[in-house]
Amino acid sequence: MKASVNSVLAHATYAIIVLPVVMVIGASFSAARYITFPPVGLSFKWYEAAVADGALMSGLWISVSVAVTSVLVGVTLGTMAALYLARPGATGRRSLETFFLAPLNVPAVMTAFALLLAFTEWKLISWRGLVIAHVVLTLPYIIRSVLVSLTGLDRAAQRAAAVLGATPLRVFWHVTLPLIRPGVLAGATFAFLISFNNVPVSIFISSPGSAPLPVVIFNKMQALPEPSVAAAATLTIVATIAVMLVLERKFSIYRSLFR
Amino acid sequence: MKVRSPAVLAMPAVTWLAVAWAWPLLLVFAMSLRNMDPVTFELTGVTLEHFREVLTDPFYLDALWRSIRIATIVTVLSAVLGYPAALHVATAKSPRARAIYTLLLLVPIMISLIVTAFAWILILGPSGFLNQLLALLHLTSGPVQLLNSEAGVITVLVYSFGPYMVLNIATAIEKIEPEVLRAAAVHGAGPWRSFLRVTLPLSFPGILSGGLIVFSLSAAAFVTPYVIGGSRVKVVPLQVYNAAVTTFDWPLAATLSVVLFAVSLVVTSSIARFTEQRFAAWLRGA
Repeated sequence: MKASVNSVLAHATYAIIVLPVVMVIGASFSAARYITFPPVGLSFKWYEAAVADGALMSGLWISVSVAVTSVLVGVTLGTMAALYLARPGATGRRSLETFFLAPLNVPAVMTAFALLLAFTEWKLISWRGLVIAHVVLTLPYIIRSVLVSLTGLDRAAQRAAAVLGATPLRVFWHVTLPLIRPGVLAGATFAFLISFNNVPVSIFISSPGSAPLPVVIFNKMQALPEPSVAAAATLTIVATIAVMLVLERKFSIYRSLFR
Repeated sequence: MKVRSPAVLAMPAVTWLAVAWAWPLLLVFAMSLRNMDPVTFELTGVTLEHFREVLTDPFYLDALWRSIRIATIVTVLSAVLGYPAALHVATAKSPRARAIYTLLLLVPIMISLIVTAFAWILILGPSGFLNQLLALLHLTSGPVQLLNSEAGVITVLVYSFGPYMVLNIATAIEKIEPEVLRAAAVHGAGPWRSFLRVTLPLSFPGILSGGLIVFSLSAAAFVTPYVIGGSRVKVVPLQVYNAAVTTFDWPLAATLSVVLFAVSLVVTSSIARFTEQRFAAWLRGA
């Protein structure tokens, strides 16, 4: 077969995917004052500079806290909604599904501007506003991910528990949740990464005091960026890949999120 | 025990999206019809003037055309350049290898767009990786302008959004029954013929669904054009951003985003319909 030619081309693609990541990591260890290629020397001083940089560190804290909070809210709302959608004969399922997935079909810049309009009026250009917006961004993915693990679920165990007198909440906690845990986890991790790395929406609705890390990096790149920006960027890459590796075995659910 | 309707379960999510997404979106449509005093920023009356301006002024029409052109090129390039990787992932023998390659393909999707842009500046910059490589190979005499150009923006968009195409094609290829490929081989089709006559046509739904995602994401992107294209590559999302946060012309920003939304919707839905019809006709042997 022409598998060998294809394999070479595929590996070239993988190499191109890895290249930019390697470049950023390389630049972050540079000993030079400015970002150069190839990096000069080896030093950790830009990590020290990044840690000492108030804007970067408060950005990191905002990013993490916004992501964790919006994931907790989003997973709760999304799992509840998915539980309803997965019920046989749920009324209005089609239109509800369309509504839940609709945010994916609107240009990101339009959603971002819409939130700027509304949140300015509602005085939500703040940490709280970021959480509300990120729940909107991640909810479609969470619902889809939980739905994937709910469909094809054998309902016999849930019925048995209910027949034996378990309350609906107990059935959910002890029977349903353990069965759909992969979908919930995949949705949660994916949501965390979307929130943690989002730029387009965050940039519209954050003030200098509430800017998450990607927005801080964006602002710093308006000037000639120091290698400390590379150090901060490396940090986000490492965090992102680490979270993705947690999901390695759930990759089939993961992939269903991109259709 | 009081029996409640299970629809209550969906209510919190519906409410959240209605209040924090649908309502703000309606505000954008309303804002696009408002008249604004350029000095006091006061909103007065209702007008279609912004739509007339955006749809007749060459400044905005050029940007609209550029957005569509860039998104189209990015979509086609993603399909062509992404196909080998899609085939490779879909035909990987062990599930573990498949998982690892899938994760690798997810990296450009998952890392922040701003980090991607930063990385590509290191590659495309005047003294960046690519220019040094070209100089080393004596292919160029001086640095090639890769940043602040449409080519640069297209390159980075293909990097960021191409994986959606690859994953969609891979999923479509995985759905092809092995018997179909065996039948082609039994009837004497070589690997190339069986690829062109079986795998490629049957993976078409993946190309289509991936293409629609890549097109709409590329047409709506503004971080990449902003950072990689500088002020040279004016696309509609960039004009939305400038009007919204630099000049505070919110009615204009609203109009531009409504037009962008409409164009992207019309283009993607008509492409979907057209290609599906052609494809169905082609399968019937027309």
